[in-house]
Amino acid sequence: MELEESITQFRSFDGNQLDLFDVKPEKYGATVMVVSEIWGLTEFIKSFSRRLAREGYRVIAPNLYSRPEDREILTEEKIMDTMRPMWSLPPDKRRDPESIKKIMENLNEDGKKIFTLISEKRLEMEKRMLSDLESLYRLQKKDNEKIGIVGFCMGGGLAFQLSTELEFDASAIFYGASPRNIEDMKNIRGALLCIYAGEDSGINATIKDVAEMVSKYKLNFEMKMYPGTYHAFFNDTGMSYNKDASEDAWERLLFFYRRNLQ
Amino acid sequence: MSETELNDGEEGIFDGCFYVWVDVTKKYMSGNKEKNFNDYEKIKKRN
Repeated sequence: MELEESITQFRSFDGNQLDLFDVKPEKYGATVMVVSEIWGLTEFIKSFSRRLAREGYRVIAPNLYSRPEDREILTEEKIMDTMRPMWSLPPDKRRDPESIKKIMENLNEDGKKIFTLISEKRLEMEKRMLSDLESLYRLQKKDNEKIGIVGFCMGGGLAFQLSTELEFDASAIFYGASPRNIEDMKNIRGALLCIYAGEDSGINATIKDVAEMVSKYKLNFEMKMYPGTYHAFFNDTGMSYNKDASEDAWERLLFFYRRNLQ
Repeated sequence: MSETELNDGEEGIFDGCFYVWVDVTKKYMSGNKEKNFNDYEKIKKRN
């Protein structure tokens, strides 16, 4: 199937123009928004988008790091470099001012900027990305066309949260955090598919809360847990890739979208 | 848009993901397993 692919720009809530990876077949029925992992618009996101477009969808993946001040800072490599010094920090020290001060002293300028976004500006970053996604949604949503969303890791958390605020026909969440106000799940109008890795204890800690909301508000919900897999198992360019689980999750995703977006 | 603020020590979506990945990268890349991110597949194909 021949695809048409481009990188265009869309105007976000604050007037900034953000990059948008856009891939579609000649004829398509619905649009799917793809929300990336913390690494940004990577080759994995692009290849996944192409793969999904071949199934008959228009697929759009925004680059949430494409503001002029972010482009050179929020790169995959620099985010990774900022993570390395954190290996020596136990989880209970992550918010400890003295521990953070020591980490910051050893970071270069870009690392310090990234770490500031992770720490004191973390809520600002979250709200900004949600607002960017909302802007894209409002630009793309058409009355006579279904719209879906899929997110991975950070993108999964963003997609999950966004699904409590905007109406998607089908939302697929790959190892993403649950909404912090779990009761917001009552606002989800479309179908929800949650994919989890068995060894992802942090993300999985709130599955029971998700299940409680599903039962309480009678949501259209599916879930699959893959035992023995680790966070980001679906990313075939990454360290924790699991082929068998990924192939199964892919088939479930396609079936989910076929039933809810067509 | 949700107006809920983060309490001290509470993780949001962005930083929460960052720390999940700190754990993932530590697992796969610390010590003598040091590899560049996304070089894993290239190394696997080479070996």
